[in-house]
Amino acid sequence: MQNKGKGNMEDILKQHLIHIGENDLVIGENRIVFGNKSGSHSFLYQRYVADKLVSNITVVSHESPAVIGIFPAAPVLTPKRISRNLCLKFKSPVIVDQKSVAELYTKMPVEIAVYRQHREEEMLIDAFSLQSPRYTLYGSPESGVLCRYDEVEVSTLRDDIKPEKYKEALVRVRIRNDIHNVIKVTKIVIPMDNVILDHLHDDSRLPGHVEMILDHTFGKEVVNIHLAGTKIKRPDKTSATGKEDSLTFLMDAGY
Amino acid sequence: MIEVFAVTLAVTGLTSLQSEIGAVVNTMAIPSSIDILGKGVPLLNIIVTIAIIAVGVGLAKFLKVFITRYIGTKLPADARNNIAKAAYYGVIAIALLSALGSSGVDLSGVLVAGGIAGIVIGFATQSLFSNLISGIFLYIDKPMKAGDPVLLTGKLPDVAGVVIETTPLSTRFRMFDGTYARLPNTEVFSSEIRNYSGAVARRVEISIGIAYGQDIDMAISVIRKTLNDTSLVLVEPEPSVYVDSLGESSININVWCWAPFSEWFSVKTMLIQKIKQEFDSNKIEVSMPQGKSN
Repeated sequence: MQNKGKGNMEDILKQHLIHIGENDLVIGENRIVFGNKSGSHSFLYQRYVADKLVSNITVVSHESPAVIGIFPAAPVLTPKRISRNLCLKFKSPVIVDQKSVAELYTKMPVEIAVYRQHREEEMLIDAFSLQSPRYTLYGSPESGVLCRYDEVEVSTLRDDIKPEKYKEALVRVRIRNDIHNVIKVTKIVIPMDNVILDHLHDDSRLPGHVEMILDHTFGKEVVNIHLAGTKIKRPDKTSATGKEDSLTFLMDAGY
Repeated sequence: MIEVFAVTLAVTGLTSLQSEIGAVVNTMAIPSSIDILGKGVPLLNIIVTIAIIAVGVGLAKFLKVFITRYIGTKLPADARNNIAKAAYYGVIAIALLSALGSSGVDLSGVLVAGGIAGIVIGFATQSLFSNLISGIFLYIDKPMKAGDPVLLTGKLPDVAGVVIETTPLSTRFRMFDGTYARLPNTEVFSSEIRNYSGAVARRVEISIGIAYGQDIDMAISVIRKTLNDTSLVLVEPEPSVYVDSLGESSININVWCWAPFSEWFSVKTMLIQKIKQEFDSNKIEVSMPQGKSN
């Protein structure tokens, strides 16, 4: 096993690439080693937590130098892919007047995803979280959905929310109350499948915003959530698609 | 007018074809009829009968493939297969009846014998038909589908396993010990079926007995911390930890929490182990049954 010392986490994560034989990359308690396996065109990806090997993957490739991609990602990968949604519970509720719009800032947890990338193709080979993930059930056990859960601060001022890089990301939420009552919002469920962060800037915010529309449908109050201006990752491709409104969720079990 | 002319042409064509085949048969010195059930059946009728059966079988096979691949793709696999089978045997039955009708064979004797045999077979296959009816009701009621883990209780000895398929007569299960079981549909339909796949989350229930003299508050606090530290224990519905009863030799604490359905078993086993370890490290004594020593 190679051990050439610690790589600078910020620098390497900014590039989103680890080249073969580079210094070990240390992220939180995780140490990533990507080295040659002697005698063949194969490379070894290894991740250690407190010196315990938790991920060990062989990559066979004639590419030189071989690279793997590493990205902060939507928090639906660890410990298993059991959820496609994120439920953010606000530490303090937000009251929105009837027929009005509120612009809020909050933050969401992120995970680190590691991909083997070759030309336009890629495959997720490892994922880990720098904080212990929690899950919740939104709705009833029969018809509800499982969500990754976090309790977060919320503010109307962007500067009040300070996400911790590579652990959290800034989320802009726009709440439109189209019903004739004042409403209290305590949580929001956001569809997160294949959503990617703003890697071009600093990985610490969700591009676009989350639109939460409260409305009446057939005499019932419903909340429609969709992501606007967010980029969605193409499955197993390195490219993204900018389809707006492609991910929606109906919060019909309260907000 | 045109249609009438076309039909006349077709009939004329068929008649001329029939006479041509008859002429060929005559020139080839092949017998023009064959004796079946004491009656001479024209060779041509036999050829037509065979042709109808062949076309019927071909059509039935085509229909089966068509239903399996294109029509029933959104149906569960077992329902799709059964519809395809019903269509297959239905078309073959129609083809057989049509073929026999056109053969010119006098079937009155066969029908009488068939009627008597039908009554006998009917009595002998009562359970077969009750299974068939139960199978139909299982399709309508849909208490389970292929891949569902279920527990059947009631009439049978308990059956716990994963449903493989429901056919018109029986349902097959893969038991959790890896063996397979086939149960008649009447038994399945009249059993109490507990389907474990109907929900996205399932409650984990653990009962722990601590010895008298132990700090109950501390024990509950340790359990709550263990639940909080376990990722796959759901935050909502909120876990519940409470003293359930004061037993003969233990204070019984119930732990109720929810876990994703697919992770239920691993969460339960993990929690039991972690709670015991936490009790040990916090010197909380778990009760032993009376008469047993540590």
